[in-house]
Amino acid sequence: MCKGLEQGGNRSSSCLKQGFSSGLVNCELCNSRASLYCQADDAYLCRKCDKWVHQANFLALRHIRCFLCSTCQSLTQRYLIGASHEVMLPTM
Amino acid sequence: MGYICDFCGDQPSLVYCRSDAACLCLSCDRNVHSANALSKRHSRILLCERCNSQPAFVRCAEEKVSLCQNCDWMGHDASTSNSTHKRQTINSYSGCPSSGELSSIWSFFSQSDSAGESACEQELGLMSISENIESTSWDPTVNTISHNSAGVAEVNGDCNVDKGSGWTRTSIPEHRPAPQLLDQPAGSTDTSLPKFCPQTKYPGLSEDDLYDDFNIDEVDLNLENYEELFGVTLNHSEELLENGGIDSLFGTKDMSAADSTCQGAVAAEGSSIGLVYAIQPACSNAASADSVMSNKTDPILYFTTKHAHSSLSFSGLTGESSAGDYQDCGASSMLLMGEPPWCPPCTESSIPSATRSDAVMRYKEKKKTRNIIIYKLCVFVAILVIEGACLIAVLASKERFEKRVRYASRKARADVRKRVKGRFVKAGPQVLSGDVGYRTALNKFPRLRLWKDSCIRTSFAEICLCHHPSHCFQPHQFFNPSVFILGVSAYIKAAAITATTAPWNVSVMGKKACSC
Repeated sequence: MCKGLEQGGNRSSSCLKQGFSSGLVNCELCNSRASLYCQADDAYLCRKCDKWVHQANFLALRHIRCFLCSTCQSLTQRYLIGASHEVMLPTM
Repeated sequence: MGYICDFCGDQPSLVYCRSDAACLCLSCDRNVHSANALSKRHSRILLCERCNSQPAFVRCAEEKVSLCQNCDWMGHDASTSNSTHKRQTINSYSGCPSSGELSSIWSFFSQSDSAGESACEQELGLMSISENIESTSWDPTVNTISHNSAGVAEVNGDCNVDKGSGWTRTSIPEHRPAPQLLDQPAGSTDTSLPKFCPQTKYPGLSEDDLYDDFNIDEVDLNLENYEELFGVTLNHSEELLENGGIDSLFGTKDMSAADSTCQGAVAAEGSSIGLVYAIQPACSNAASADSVMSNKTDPILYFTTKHAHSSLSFSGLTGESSAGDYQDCGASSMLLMGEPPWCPPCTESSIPSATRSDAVMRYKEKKKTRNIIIYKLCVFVAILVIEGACLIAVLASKERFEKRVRYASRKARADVRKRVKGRFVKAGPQVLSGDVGYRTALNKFPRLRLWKDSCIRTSFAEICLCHHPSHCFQPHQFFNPSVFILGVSAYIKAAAITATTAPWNVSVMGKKACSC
């Protein structure tokens, strides 16, 4: 699933290893394993908490959430917009 | 971004939430950001009062306005005397502060909440004024409206769009024939409409005007419809008088059929609020016409005593679905008490049964065809009404002119893209000075365009050399000062641009991403 290895072996340098020594990012609300990152809220969230938080109102629904790699929990290029609309945004 | 809060679309926006990228009024800001712990962390800042689209950056003490960077630069240009104005940086806040706390953060922040509320009340007051204007303006068009203006105004005063109570309130005390019903839907549409356009006075008025024209036509149509039905029933009154008891039976059957169709039609269109009011008169007219006709099977004696009953039955029809019951009660009571008052027609019932059955059959046929015509007309009118209302709603609505996002992915991309001074910039490697200077030189010196295709990246030395293509090799024109200055300025500009957009090689989210 991780295609990072193909990209010139930059995975070790470009992958953002989380600063914690434990190496595991937890959802900020329920402390389970995080699978999304919301840049607008600057928060790591699990799927359920993300659904709860971002379906509260339409302003929150506009936030773009970034999926985290399930292995290394770093940011991917798959994003989530709205209720369940997944897009791939190219890097610029 | 705009003058109106993005959330309620009602009040003017005051603060800007960076995380949500939305302009909000104070109350919506409090509502939205108190929803959960993550929203509380959003940082909000005052909006620029000049352009209302960017977050404010400084507060000018002399002019007493909060300005964004652009407006600040424009307003306090170095060449004017304004450049010496004292400006104070504005801080953002997060959490859920009250107005008092906001006032302490920003000393210039006034209690604008009360201003917003009073504006709302003013708008409501304006609404009621506009309603009165409309109710009186109907007088020349429909004469009987004026009788109901008091009732309409009363309903308006309560701002109560309770259709049933509104209708029954005015129908029961007044023993009037059906034209009063026609006024009623017009009146109640009048009450319902201003509720739908609470935004500002003028759009509300324009929408109401459109609805007014629309309803006038509807009322006229109903009047014609009703008179046609009335006329038909009058023609049949003699026949009906002959065929006393059976007609009441027919009456019940047809009434129940009419009621069911009317109720079905009403239920089908009940989803569109404003239309229910318009459609019900059509149905109620059909049903009431039938009921009138069936009531007219009774002779004049019954007419006087049961006129109140018929008006009550009208109100029952229009108000609730118990209309069927009402009519059945009326019909059955007619059946029960039918014999004694029917002495005059009883004498005529000695006609032989054969001709009577023939007459009955003929009458039945005519009634069926007439009913079919009525139903078709109702359906046609209903369809017209729906189309007209939809058209008007679309035309008069402001949705056409509001910002609409067509593609969520495009909006997402646009939100995320790097901007410099509000313009998109490419985050790729910036082409350096030569191209920039070259392009500006091209615009200034049209002859250089001839060189555009061939010279892709030339240094400005070459430009200096070749700016006169016709005199390309004239050595005494080796150096042209104007082009040289142009090139130098272009160099400086390009350098500045690259400096500001230095982090171009960082990924979308501001963090380096692995391509998983």
